[in-house]
Amino acid sequence: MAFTETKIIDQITVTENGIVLYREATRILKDGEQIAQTYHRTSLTPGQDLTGQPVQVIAICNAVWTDEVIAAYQAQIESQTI
Amino acid sequence: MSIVLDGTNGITTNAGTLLSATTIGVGGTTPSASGAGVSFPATQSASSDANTLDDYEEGTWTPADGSGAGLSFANIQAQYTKIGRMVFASATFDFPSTASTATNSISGLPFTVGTTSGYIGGFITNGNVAVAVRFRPGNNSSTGSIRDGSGTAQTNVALSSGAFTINAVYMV
Repeated sequence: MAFTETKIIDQITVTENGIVLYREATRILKDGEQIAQTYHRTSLTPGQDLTGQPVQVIAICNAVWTDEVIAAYQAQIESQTI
Repeated sequence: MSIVLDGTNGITTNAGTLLSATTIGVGGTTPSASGAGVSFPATQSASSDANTLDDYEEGTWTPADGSGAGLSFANIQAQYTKIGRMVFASATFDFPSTASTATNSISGLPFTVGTTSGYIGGFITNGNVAVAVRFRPGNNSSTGSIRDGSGTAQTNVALSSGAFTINAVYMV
């Protein structure tokens, strides 16, 4: 009987205004068959520091986060009051 | 043919036991190997029907500084549960000592907040800073801010060295 743990990014979503969300699934396998799974979610807003993020997520952020997207997102946030 | 559902035999037919399961998978999902309940697809298969529960997910998330001040939170514990279109996210963390006058911003919410203003809310259940009363998720964003009782977003320095438990409830 062998137990193994794997971590995989199983979902990456990009919203219309440039927010990048991804989900990391941690899977516990018993003799190769999944018996449990947990999730950890992360969201990144345009212009946010990407230090320590997964390479595939960084690639997507760099492609999506143009200067225009970052400026538009900042304007959106600053326009929200109460 | 008759089909019977009871707590002892599960689902049975007059030809014998069809299924005796403690977990049920919908949408082609493999039922969970542990506990008893309903397993939903890993990626939501959204239903437009108002009486259909089409998603359930629970997990953890990491609140981070979104103010641009480069702050690092400590002692983070954060969890979420999504039921249908509602998200319940909470987080406990320590705010660092800082002199930053930027407006605080907590990023990393597990799902993007919906675009309809008013379908969101948040509060602080634990904190040692008097001006921290509300947590306000931002529409169409994955960030929120800690605010006082009148709704004014606080500066980072006003929250310096504080310890907080924030709770957000919002529709996606």
